[in-house]
Amino acid sequence: MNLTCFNSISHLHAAEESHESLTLTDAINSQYALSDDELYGPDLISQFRQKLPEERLAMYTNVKGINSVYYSKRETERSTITVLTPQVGVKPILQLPKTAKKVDKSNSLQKWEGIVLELKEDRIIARLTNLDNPLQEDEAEIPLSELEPEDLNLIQPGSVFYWNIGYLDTGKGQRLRTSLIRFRRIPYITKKQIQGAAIDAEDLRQFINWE
Amino acid sequence: MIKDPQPKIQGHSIVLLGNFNPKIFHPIWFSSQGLIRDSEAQEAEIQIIHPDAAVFSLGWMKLEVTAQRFMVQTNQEPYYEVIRDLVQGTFSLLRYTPVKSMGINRDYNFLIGDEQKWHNVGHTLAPKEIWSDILKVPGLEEMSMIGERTDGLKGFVKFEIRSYKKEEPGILLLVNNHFDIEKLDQGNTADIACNLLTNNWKSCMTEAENSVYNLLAKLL
Repeated sequence: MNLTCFNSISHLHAAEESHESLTLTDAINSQYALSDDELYGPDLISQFRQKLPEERLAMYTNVKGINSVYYSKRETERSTITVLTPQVGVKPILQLPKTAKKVDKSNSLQKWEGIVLELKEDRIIARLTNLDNPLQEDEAEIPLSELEPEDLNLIQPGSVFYWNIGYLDTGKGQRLRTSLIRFRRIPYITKKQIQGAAIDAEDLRQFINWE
Repeated sequence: MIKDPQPKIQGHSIVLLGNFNPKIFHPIWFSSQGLIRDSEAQEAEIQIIHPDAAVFSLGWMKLEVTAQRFMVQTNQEPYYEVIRDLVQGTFSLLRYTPVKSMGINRDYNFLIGDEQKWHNVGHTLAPKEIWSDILKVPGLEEMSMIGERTDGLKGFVKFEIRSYKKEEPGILLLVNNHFDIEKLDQGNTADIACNLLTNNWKSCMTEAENSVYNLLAKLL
């Protein structure tokens, strides 16, 4: 019963939105907009699946008010405000008042991207590129004790990491000087994927007849 | 370029629109794929993991996924590259995910101590003369400007400005670098999104910041 009610309301809001708040963005986008059905074929399963009411979704996602749950599908902006606007005909959801949580904020004074050149017993030797000035390169030795234990298994020649020196302003009002090194994480590659890549490379080599 | 004033808070987010399966996006899935640390997955603050929505945060980032929208955001400057890698890693694994568009976004929150300067921002962006006989004490609350991309890619660049006055007056500046992803004959749309990130992320970030300070120089 509720599902029907929410769906009909959502259609109503979507219609209202499309009529009343047609923006330049929408107008531009509508020139090359394709429907989901045109792109991917009709979505049969989702019509019958029990869905979370849109109001409930809005509680978890930072959309700009209940109406904007039906955001333009081309909207790729960050959403920053959560406001649940009362709507006629929509049962309100009981929400406990939220207390403002003071969060830590960190910023950068200097940022480098590093590439591990050599792994020694107790340190790495790396080439550092200043991310604000990529022409500036340096070589550095960094003790393994400076690195996060969970990142140690990622270290090998060629590994990429980010080194940030800056400040951390804690939610409690303290300012701390920080040096943060974090290794780049890319998905694990399985043996099967490596074998697949080798087969692809061999096919390509034969295709271009490369001796 | 001199970065003055310094933002009170700044952030970065990457948004993908398409068709997603939210329940996949569990912290344990990310750690099992090597995309985040195991300890981070264990300590993740999960708000919801459901077929319609997945929302969790790790301290340095927040992830929100619904059936049509994937967003990862951070307010911690050291982690800008890290969330880019996270998106690339995620969609190199989920490479058959249909992705229709992508936003590379930056946001800045500037406090403007001098109230007259804050008013001048509004007056410059939205002159009040035409409102004077319509509204009593008109003021700029929010505006957006959209422009064409300069790199020849399909999409647009959008600026949004919001003014606020809490303890001190300030403005929020949001820059949305939007890419429309076309379905090409070869290649998955998720692959195209990853390539766009590889080739355009740095320039988007730099240009957004330069544009923000260019605008501020004209406003303050």
